[in-house]
Amino acid sequence: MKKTLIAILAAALLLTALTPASFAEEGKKVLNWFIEGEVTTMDSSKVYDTLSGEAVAYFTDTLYRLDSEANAVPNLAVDLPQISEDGTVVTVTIRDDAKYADGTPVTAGDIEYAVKRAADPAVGSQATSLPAIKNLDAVRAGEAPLDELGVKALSDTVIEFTLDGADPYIAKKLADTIVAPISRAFAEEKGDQYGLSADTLLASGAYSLTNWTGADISWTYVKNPYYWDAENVYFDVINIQVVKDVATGTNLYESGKLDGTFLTSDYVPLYAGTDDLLGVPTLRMTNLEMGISSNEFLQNENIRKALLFGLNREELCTNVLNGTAVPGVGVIPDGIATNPETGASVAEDFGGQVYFDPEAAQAYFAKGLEELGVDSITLRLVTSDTDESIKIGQYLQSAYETNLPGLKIDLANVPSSVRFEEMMSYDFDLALGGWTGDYDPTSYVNQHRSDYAHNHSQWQSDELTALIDKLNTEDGTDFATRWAHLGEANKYLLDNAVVIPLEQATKEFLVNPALKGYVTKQLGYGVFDLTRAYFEE
Amino acid sequence: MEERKTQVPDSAFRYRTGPARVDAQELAPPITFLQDAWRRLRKNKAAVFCMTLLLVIILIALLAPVLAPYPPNEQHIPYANLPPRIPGVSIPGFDGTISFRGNRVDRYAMAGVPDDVNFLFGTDEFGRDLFSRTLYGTRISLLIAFVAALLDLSIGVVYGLTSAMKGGRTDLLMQRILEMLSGNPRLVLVVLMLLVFEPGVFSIILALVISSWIPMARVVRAQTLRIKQMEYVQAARVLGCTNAKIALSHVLPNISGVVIVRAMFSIPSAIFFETFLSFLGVGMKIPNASLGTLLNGGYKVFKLYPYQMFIPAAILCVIMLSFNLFADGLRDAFDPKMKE
Amino acid sequence: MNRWIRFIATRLLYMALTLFVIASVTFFLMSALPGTPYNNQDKLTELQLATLNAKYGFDKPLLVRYGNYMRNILHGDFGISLQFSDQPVASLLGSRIGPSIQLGLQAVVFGTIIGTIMGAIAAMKQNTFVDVFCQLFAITGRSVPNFVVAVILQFIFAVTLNWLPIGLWNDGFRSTILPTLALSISPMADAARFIRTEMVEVLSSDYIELARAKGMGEIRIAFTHGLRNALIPLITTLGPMTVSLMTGSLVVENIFAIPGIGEQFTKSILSNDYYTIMAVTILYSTMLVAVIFVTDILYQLIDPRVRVEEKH
Repeated sequence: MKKTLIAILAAALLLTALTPASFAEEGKKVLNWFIEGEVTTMDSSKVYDTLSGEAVAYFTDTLYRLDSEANAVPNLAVDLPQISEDGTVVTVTIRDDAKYADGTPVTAGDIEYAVKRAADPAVGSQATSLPAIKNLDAVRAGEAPLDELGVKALSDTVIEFTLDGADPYIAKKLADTIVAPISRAFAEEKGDQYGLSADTLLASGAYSLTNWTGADISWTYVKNPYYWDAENVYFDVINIQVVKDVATGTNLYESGKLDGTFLTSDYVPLYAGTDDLLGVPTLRMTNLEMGISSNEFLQNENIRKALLFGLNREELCTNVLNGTAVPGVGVIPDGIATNPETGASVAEDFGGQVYFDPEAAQAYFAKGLEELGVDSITLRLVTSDTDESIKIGQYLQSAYETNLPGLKIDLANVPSSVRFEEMMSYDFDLALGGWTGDYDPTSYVNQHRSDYAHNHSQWQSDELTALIDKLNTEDGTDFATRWAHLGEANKYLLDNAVVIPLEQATKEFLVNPALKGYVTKQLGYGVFDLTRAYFEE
Repeated sequence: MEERKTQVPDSAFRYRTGPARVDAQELAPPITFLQDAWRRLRKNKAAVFCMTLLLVIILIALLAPVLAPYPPNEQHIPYANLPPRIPGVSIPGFDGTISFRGNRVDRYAMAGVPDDVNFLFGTDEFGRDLFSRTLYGTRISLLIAFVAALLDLSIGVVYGLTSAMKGGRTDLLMQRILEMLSGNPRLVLVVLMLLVFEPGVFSIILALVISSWIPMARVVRAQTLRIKQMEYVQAARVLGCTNAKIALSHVLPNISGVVIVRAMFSIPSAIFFETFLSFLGVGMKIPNASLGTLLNGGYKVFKLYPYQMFIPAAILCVIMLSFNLFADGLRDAFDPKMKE
Repeated sequence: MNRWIRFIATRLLYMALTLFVIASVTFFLMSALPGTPYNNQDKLTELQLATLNAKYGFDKPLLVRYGNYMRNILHGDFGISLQFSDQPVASLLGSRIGPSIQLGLQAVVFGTIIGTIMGAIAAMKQNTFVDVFCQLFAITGRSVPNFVVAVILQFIFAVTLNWLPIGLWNDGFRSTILPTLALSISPMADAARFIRTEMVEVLSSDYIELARAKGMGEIRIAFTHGLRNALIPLITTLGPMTVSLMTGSLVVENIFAIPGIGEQFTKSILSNDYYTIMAVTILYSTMLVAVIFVTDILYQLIDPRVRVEEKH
């Protein structure tokens, strides 16, 4: 009997001894950073989510970088892109001293390879961030060969993109890792295995990826000695820890095991007023979306207007979300762009149409009920099952039921994929949704274009479609006209209460106050660009 | 041998007058199995205490609609995250103050709450009264547990009895099915089911029942097989009793102790499983409260407002402890081996 | 011997059948899950969706997919994860199973040893203060959910006293102490109760009286007779307990940020990662069934009363 016990004990101890030790070397400059979940992929052609985008950016050098005002600044490219007269041909020259982590040079041909790879149906990327390159859809559908894709390396340092139409935001779109170089020789050597682990990836950026095997909750970036700007890269090692739970993250941060972590609205009051708290506004519009086509009550304009005006967004943002959000001013988020002539913000030019007016809302609601010939209505509100979504959902339920007597909200919190499916099949009542656009504010109104797949409400309007078409085509780079048309589209959507803007969230973090030199971004993948971050000594 | 008869004259006998004298008091009162068990249970002070405590908790839970000062889902946003305040009590933690970065601050004063408004268990992130939510939450958790135990009991008993009484091929088949079910990871099945069905009390009960009656069926089968060998059962069979009659009138009464004890133990495990599911975020329909959802909500803000987790955790522990101790007492009471 | 071979062969056959049925039921239940496995469905175009469905074979009828899947797993191919783009499910699980197994084993071993000692002491000192304390501990251990224990342990030993790491899996044995303790509460309580009950029974039996009469010391009696008899049935419960700890440890893994399998698995269900759901289910079931099988064999070997043939 004793022998059995000893054997079991020995086995347990042996297992313990096999546990890997932490990555810490003497004399190196180390940053212990966080990420909010496992990454789905480290293959830059397949990145479609924030976390992967953030993780890939450490070791992938992009043509442009975004500064904290979301301006594109040359990075791997030597200058801003040269754009042809009609805006459809974009030429970029890249540095001739850029190298991969194995010392081989980065060429324009590798960028062509990367873009084609992302469009290749055989690769099956879920990414949606490629610019509107010529023949993209046909190539994706397998109807046109890869060679017809509008991307071509003219020499080792010059790459040319042919677009479907002029894109005033092309430089920002070229800052995405999906157009970053992938060493063709390396990728073809690895074949199917490319990108599945750190060993089958080759860094072009400031760091190389190590200790990552596919679904890890921690990994390490080490400095890439061949990086063209290596002398301005401070950290030798960045240890990444996946932190999913805010309590765990704050514990680790407070014990000095992490130099940064994320917070949820619950935790913000605990750190209010400290040097560690950092808030970064996002450009995501969180909206209450309505299944107008599938719910007869919501086809009534007065009911929709009651929902628009029957909500105290100030209370939601200040009291419920503890100041981690600001009330939405309209369909287009404040801060994404400014009036090209006056510099006025979205809130200043387009604001004032979304507000809380309980009496007006109740009047609209009563009128709506009368028109519909019913005493009360029940609407099902579907939200994702994340903590913040559930929180907002519970507030909306209670607030609407209090502010609009006769309205009952049935709350359903489901996995995100289920919520998407309900919205995409246009069969739902209310959904806590929203829109994260790219650099072009047009995408926020384009969502409601009649024939667009993500027009969840299925609101049909020739007037709106005509406006959006102008924005997408003839307005081109005439930013003043674009601004006016954006305002009109925004007004149309609010006048008809097609969608109910709720709030614009601020992401809250704890960051070691000694850490300087990092860039926070409002758009694109990930909030932090740590390439040139350093510790103040 | 000549038989010598002693004649007793009739005159030696006397007719008795007055009431019959053989009254019940003279004989030892017939003690049924249950009475016997009850007698022994009463001697177990811990079990009696727990039973009383449980009865009180159940009563309070049943009276939740009367006792709760607020509707459980009613939000008072300005009064969010207030700590417990019990009038007249000045123990830190129950006086409306909270420790914030080393200082004790009066959250009630900060939120501008009138002096006569008190939240005994504090409030949550929406200013919902946690006392009311705890009452309703306990009610739901107990309901889930009792219904699950009851269904578990009926399915398990019927399955075990049938399997053992039929015997032969039927038994073999039923045992194989049981084995297959017990090879199924409970968590996987339950989480999948809860996603396929709409969340809510019904789904949770269904999920619990599907996976929890197996030990009961095993116990019942084993006990039935034992009793089936008894002579009186053989006798009943010879006398032409049907299987069903034997099962109902001979087997069931004799295994009732084991069955009751087993069912009692399945109640705390059902409560535990419900909290576990709520912790995973599957289960109760939001915003309704159960002990699990309260615990989950409290865990999220544990560092800031520890009372939001500790109060439901304490209540959960008390209920679990009471059920376990009471079930222990019952088992000892039913177990003849422990007879003094 | 022949009997043994037949016994084992039958059991193995039933195990295979069990696994097949479980895999099939899970496959169809899983197919009924609402939603798609594509996380960024809200941005995909119709065209991309169709391309992806064709790539993963989701455009085929359910029965065809079922047939393909079953054929593949027979060849040891568990498919690729949809949640972790194109990672083979097998390697994904392989990288996660280690910590879960280690925690499960450590907790069961530690909990059982401590629980056995407590139970033995309680039985020897029956009805004393020590006994009451041990019993109270055992019943509390069974009544307090392990995640509550985990949070409290973390608060005391990591946050307040700073003796042990708050979480993570990178500090060798030290990282495993708190989660192991939290998980060991229930095996500890079970072992303590079990050992006490068994030993009380044994210690009051006639042959122990005889041993006592012969002048055998109390401690020796406790160990050679009491504990020995009680331990054998206890050991047979260790396997199932380890499996149930492993499958139920996901909240504790989450609290301590441990790269185990549990949390990953719930995530795969919530994101419709079909092949990962299947693989984890099959893995868990295999462990459960195997452990039941081994336990059965152990019983046959240890307890001569249990015969190989089944009597009816």
